[in-house]
Amino acid sequence: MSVAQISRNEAQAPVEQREALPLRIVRRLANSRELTLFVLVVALALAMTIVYPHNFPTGPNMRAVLLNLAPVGILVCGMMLLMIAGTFDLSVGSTLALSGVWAGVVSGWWGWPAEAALLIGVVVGAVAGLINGLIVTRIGINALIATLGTLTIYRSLTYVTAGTGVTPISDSFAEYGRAADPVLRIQSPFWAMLVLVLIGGWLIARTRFFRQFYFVGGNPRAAQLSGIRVDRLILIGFVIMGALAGIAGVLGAARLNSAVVNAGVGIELKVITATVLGGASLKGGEGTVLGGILGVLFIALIENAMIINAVGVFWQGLVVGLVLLFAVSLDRFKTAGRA
Amino acid sequence: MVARLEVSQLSKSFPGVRALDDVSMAVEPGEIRALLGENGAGKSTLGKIVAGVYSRTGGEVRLDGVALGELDEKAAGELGIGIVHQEGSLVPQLSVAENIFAGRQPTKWFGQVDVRLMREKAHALIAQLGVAIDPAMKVAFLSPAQAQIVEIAKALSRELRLLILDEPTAALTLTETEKLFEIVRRLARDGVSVIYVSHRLAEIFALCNSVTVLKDGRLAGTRKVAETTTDELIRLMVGRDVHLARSASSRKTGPIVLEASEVSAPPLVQSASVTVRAGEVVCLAGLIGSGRSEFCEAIFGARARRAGEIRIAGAPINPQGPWDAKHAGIGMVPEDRKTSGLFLGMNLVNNIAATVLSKVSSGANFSNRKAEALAGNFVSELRISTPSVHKIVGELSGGNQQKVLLAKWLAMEPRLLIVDEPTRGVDVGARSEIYRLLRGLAEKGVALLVVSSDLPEVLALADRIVVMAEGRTVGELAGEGATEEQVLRLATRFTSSVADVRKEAVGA
Amino acid sequence: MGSMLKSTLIALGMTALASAVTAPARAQESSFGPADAKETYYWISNKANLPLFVQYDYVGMKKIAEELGVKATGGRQVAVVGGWDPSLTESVKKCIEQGVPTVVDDGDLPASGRLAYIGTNWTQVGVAQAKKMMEKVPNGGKLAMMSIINAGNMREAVAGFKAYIEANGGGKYNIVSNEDDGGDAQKAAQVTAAILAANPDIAGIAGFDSESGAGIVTALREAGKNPGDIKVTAMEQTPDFFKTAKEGWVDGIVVQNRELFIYYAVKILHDYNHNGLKSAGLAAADGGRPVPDTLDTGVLLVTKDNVDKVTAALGVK
Repeated sequence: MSVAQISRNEAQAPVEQREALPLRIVRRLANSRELTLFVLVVALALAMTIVYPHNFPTGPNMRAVLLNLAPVGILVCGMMLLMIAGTFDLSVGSTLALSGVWAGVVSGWWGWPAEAALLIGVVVGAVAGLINGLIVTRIGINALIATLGTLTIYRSLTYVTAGTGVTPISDSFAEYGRAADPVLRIQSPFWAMLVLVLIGGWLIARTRFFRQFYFVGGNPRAAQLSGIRVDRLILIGFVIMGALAGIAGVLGAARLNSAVVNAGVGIELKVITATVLGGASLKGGEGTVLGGILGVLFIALIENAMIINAVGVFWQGLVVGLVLLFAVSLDRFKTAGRA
Repeated sequence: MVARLEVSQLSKSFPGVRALDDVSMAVEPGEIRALLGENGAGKSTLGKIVAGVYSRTGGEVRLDGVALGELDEKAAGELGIGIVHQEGSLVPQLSVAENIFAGRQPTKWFGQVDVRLMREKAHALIAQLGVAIDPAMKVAFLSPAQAQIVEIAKALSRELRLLILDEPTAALTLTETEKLFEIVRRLARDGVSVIYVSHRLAEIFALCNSVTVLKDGRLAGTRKVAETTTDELIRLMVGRDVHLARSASSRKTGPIVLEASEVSAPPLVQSASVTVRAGEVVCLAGLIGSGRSEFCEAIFGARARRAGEIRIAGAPINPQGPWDAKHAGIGMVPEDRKTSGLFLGMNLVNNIAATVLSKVSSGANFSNRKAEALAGNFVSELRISTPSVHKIVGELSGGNQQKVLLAKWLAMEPRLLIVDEPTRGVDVGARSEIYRLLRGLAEKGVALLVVSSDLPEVLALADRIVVMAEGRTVGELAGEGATEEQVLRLATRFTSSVADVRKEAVGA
Repeated sequence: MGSMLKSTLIALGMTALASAVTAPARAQESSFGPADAKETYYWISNKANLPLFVQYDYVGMKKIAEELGVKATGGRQVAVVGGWDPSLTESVKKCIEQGVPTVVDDGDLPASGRLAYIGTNWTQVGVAQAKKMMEKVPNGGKLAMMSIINAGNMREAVAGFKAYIEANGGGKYNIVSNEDDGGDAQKAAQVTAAILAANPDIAGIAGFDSESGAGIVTALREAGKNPGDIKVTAMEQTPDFFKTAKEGWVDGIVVQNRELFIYYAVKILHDYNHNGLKSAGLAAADGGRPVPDTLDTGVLLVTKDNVDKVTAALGVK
């Protein structure tokens, strides 16, 4: 009789006693961060709908919530990819501003076509990401330090590029951030985000190429010895992150018809918060784009709900922090079960 | 007389697994008791419960007649129970001395750590083990053997009543093992009881007074070492006869697959050459630090080469990284499965698919179905003991992890498979299965290059033995008829300066 | 090494290109006055790069330096401190203790022992917006405010706005919201949208941070409102932002006289050093204070009525 058969039989005989129903539900929820977040999002939306039927579930409010989560939603796709690979990028806010400002300069000052401005903005973002990636992989500087450095460098470059920013840019450029679909009447940044999330979600969940990022984050040394080109993947991850920051930057500038040099200050923390809430691990190897975007949605709804609830402005940070800790600590039920 | 340790009706359940079931045993003061069993038999679990690492589900533990309640590792330590873990408990970034006195460093006023005193004490403890390791050195720079010695020194840093050693010799050379045995015997003479968890039957006969065998979490029997035989112990462990002996080779070797000549990858590899034919098992033997693993890494592209030529099936290759080597049909199972081999936080499916992502994809899409099927095949083929292919690999036993690691490389169907320490930390039953597997690969025409520090293993497996010393290949023996003495004589030709090579390697 | 060089070159290249493009339009000098000047006055700010400063504050700095023949520079040493951040108090104290005459501008540090504060009276900013709001919403209604909540000067404005409305509104007004926009126009737009959802019948929104106005207008536009549906008062941002007053989106834009800040700051310091006047018989060197304690530089409200002149003067198309 083989060893395999013995332990398989053992595994089939459940050792645990059946637990009380509420505990089982909690454990079930805790096993998938996406499911946890989905339930939390739905519960919050339902509660708000019941309590504030005339304020919360209205077309304008939903449109505004979806539009306003677009920049963080776009960035979360890239940050999730990087965090799956066990690294991250703190310079996204500065990259976003630099891209927006370059698009503004190209369209507003030089008078080039809006499409050229969009393209150049995204390319500037990708180049910024490339530089981050080269510093991390070729010079071997830790991502925290490298991107902290470029965070201030890229911000400084936005000042150097455009001093006070570019306002107004141009109507044709602004149209790219303001055009809305005829049915739901939600503006383009949301649709851009949706497309990126769907493509990014599919790529990361399903394709062979992006599956490699999980291995890189799971154990970089083992990934390297499995024939995975770790450094090249990390470099590509940073370029994608930069390009996404570029997209968020140009769309934000178009929406406001104004390239602001201090756009995106502090957005990196919001993005990383949503990414971790969405199931990324600081150690790498875990997470999905679906989780990340649900994290963004959850935070956006909380922020919206707090203002509708008239929670005092000084208390809002406390509420957000507590809710985040609660959502993330649901995992403890999972690990406690394993002991 | 009261037994030093008395365990009665001990049980431990993990979700889905009953790791220990109604186990009772007693150890007298000064007794050296071996704890023997296959993968997942529960021997490490038993040790960890006694040392307070795990809590028990049922049963009783008495130390010198006093029942122990719930206790953690610290409380157990204060009672005089020390444990040396199989997986190691050292913090690589800290110094040897800090690791030995972790959490209870000697202090001066205001809780300030007395670094000088701590280092002196650490030095004395290590010297007691008959070796010299600088207490100020970071653990990261130690060899596996040195790290093991520090682990033992850490356990010895307290007044001991009971010492639990979990696979302590896995990383040690013969001389180091002998030194460890002397220390254990001396501790036993001083009245310390020792529980010695090991897979190596020879060690048990050399060191222990008695042996308790566990099988599938249950007690299979306790014997006096003087009154038992190897065959009896193996029968108790696995319930069947296992052959470790060399099987008569009837294989025909094919054309040359690997031809590496005068490879140099300083500082550890000076000039090494080897050829391996299809269907041939070549073992690289040598002492720790002789550059065997590093030579393999250079062939695999995982280590920069300064000179030398590598040919695969006659065509020269110049691998810039493992991906190039993989492309040429080379696979490598690394020495340390936890840090370099496996993705411990991922399941079997992902681990096994890691080298063959394109094979388990349809077009650009990764196919979970294909990956699961692949993993399922290997689970049954290699008899990997796991409830499901979705089990997290970090939760499997050492032997099963090793099989997953092999599966990962078998999946890519290599022409040449390099296996570095194929059975480190693996028990007798799984070990013979791994040998069977490697021989089966050779039958199929795969060229195998095996690094092993275990001489009986080398003698059992090799068609040819290539010996390395100080970064050079210094000799070659036919596997058939070779003896341990012949191998050792070649390997120790330059031993005087082996220590210097190691020093050079860590840049100390 | 090669790649580091490459990265540096790319970064330098981007910078060089940017300067080449932008230099003629917006030269950025931050040091003014004759090179051989005997005295140097330093202006220090932890936000020295802020667009608003570049646009206005340096103009005043340049003017006063030329007028007095001294050197004024935006740099790392001391004399005028832009005091937004209460944590600068200790640094200013140290300057005074070491005998460096120090005044603060833009935001006061009352506990620092500074010689003088030159800048906007932020309570008056709140009052100016409140007056305009009451004029535009004569029948009362719900009002909302937004600002950077941890900025001391904006807190004064928020308090001034609230106090004026409560004292003079006759109970017709209800301030339903006081939110944080973090100095980011997109965040201001998000907050505005939520305020609209919470209070569909909101009558007016007041913004106290320079980015608030742009965000409020964006959100109103996106919500399908027309200019004038909801009354808005705000702070000045870029010259282009004045167009919103012309279009009717914003009813009053408060302009700080920022060009006056450094101008009068240096003037007061120069007077302190040279005017020879005494207080209680004590000259400056003996501990007298022959300069004013606070200088309110006043505010200007840009509305529909005067916006054409403003945009013409600023060359906004």
